Amino acid sequence: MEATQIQLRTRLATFLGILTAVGTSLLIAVALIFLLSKDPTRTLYYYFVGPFTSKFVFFNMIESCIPIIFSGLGIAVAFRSGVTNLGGEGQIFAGAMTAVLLGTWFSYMPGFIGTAVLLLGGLMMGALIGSASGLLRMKWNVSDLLTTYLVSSGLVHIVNYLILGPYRDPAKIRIQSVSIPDSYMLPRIATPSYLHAGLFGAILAAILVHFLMKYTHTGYHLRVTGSNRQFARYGGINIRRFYVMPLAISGGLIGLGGAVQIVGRYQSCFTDLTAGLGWAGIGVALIARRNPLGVLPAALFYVYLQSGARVAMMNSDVTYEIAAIITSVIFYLITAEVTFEFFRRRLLK
Amino acid sequence: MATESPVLFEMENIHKIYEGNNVYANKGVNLSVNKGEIHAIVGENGAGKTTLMKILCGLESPDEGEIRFNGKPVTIRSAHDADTLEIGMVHQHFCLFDGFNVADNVVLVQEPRKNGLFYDSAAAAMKVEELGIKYNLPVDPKAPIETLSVGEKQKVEILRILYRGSKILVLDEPTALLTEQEIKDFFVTLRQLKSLGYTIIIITHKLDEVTEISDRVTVMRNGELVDCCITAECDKQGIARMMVGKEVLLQVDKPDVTPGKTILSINELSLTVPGFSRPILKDISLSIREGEIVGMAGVSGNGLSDLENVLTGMSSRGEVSGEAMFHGKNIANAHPSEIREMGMAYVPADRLHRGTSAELQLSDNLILLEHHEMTRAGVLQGKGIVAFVKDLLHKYNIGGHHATPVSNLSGGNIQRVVLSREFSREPNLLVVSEPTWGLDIVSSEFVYQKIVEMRSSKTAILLISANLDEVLALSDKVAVIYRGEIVGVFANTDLDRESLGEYMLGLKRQSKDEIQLGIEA
Repeated sequence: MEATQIQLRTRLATFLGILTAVGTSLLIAVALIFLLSKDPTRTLYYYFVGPFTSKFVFFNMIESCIPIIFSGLGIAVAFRSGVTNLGGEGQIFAGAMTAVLLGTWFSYMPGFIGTAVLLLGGLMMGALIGSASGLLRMKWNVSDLLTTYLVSSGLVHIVNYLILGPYRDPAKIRIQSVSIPDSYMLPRIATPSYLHAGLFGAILAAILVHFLMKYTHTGYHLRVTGSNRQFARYGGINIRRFYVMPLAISGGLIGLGGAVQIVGRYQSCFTDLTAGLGWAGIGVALIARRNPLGVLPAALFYVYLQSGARVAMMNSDVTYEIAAIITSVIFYLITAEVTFEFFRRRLLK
Repeated sequence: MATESPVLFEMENIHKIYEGNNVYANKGVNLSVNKGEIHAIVGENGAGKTTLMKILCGLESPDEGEIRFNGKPVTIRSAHDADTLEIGMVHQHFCLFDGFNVADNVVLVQEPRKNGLFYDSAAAAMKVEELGIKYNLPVDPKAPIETLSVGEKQKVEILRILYRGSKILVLDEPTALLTEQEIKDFFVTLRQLKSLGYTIIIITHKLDEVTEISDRVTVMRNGELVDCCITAECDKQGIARMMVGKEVLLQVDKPDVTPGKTILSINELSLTVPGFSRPILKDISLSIREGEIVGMAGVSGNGLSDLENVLTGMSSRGEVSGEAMFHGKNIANAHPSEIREMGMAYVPADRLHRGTSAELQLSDNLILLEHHEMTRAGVLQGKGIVAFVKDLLHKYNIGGHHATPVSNLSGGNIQRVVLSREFSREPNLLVVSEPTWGLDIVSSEFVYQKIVEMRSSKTAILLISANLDEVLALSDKVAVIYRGEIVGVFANTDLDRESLGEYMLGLKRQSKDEIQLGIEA
């Protein structure tokens, strides 16, 4: 087979794989809705067309994919580098709280410098948390899968304490932390929706991570070590370093996502801020097949399903459980390797 | 009353080709086993012994051939079929489940039940204990598997097939990991099982054991059956000769190269690993000069792969003493990055897991050693890489594109990937291990040709191989390793397979002085 043709066919196989997976899963979703809803056409309409019916809903949907892009990128980097990061929830939460703390402690900086400091703070905090698990793995071979999760679970309680205790804003009815100055907030770009300039940051982050992984020396080491540690060591790469570094990058991206939530959307921290964004990142990274640029459409697809479910719940007889079942069926099919393998075999043999 | 043992089963004209590398694993093998005998099957690595037994046990399906039990043809398509015929196999690498105790492992699949539904662990423990007493295989049924020694694990494996009611026991290299005492005990067990009427097939390449325990011995070579004889009627030398064969298939043209200065000098290198009673490597001394190929021959399990790992920095287990001096530096168990920097190239035996990364594309695999030089300001230089990769693909005739994942390549192409990467750096020391394992003739010849080219360009080469033909065709000097020790060093002038085979199998060894002379020659 001609060389360029192999490349072309590999891409085609991946594309057809995704297409088939999405297609089948949507068909199953439709079948489920027909089975479970009393008014299936109405439900279908709200489920799949709903998110596009109003600008407000549509732009809010776009807004909700911003943190998921960050956590998806973080997870994709970890997976590519052969480590596991299940601590997304804690990293988002701690990143967000760090931004709030920095914003309240240093409230007199010029606006854009303030924003930058807060974002950097969130990033550093996430990186620090990730590195801790990396160090444990490197020094004592403690499973990163466990420690990322455990460290994150502990952090959630610490941040909750800060919100409920010393940094609670007593003037607010809702339980939330003190707020950062207005001047540190990112501009809204599609009022009245919540969509903010953080979207550009998320897209830029995806491009940078793609560049890092694919074109840099460090990225090469991450990929080689991630794909096969024995091979990396054989080539003279110091593989011990590659527990800490990928987890630091992964945690950093996710922590940054948390800080973006503060400066872009919420201005203060509250106990439900993460709401599964860390876990969503894992699903998104899997749909994207661990490809940083793929995280963008994957996150969009994820929030489309979520927002469709939300609209359908408000306007038809779809319950939360039904929506959850549909979402998981779709996820299951898309992350399964079967369809990809099918096309790869057909096209490359 | 002495009656002639009737034939229990026959395997006739068994053929098996493994897809992917088109190697004949079995080529028209005929095996006949009598009831109640201990039948040894011997042969070099890759002679097809294990494949033949896997076919008998339903784990591989033959491409051709017939199996007859008591004269009646049978088909054995699965382990379940083998079970019905009362055949049980203990694999070389044990298949026991950590985290469960001995009894759980033994009764697996045929667990005693409470009320026909729940697993009855007390009954299991009792049954296993009884079984152990009956067959003189005492193991604590409640002991967790991971706490057992290798010898005890083997008892559990044997108990498992006995529990399932197997009457034919197939044991694949059962003594490979046992200590001397464990081997003695093990043989007592085998004799007892034989006296109880069990038929035992034992795969091995240790000739001492063959003569000690077996009634008959079948010799295999290159997938074919060479001979089958009554053990008492043949001597070790005869068996060894049959194992290694006579014909030399390979002819490699080696130009004359005058060896230069010594590049690698190994002095009394030893490796001890906790849990093993004897050292894995013991006082290995050897030196390799520029433009010289030193072949290290041995049967697997005698320390070849450990030597490979210690010299290339890929071993982290055990304690190393002695030294391997390369450019005035001791590289024994150094980090591969240091060794690489000094200019060692290394073609590992495990080309699929160590020599390449299957999921990465060809270019990523090929630039492993070059990528430092191909980086400007932290960014890989795409154009330079593509040119470099294209050049290697062309020079080594690798069928693929720079973006093809290595997992899509054939075995021969994968080895070309490894060679092209390692050889293109013009190394002064080259460690090559099992370079043609599993490759077809064409690919093998290519590999030999490239190794000889490296020799002509004055590289010092250590060839580690269990393939005698290869060692004889390529080496200038041959060292034989047996049980972790060098038992002979020879100039490759008029060596033949037979005499080397005797050293490899531990039947002969040179004196210390002879070895020393050989090293210095």
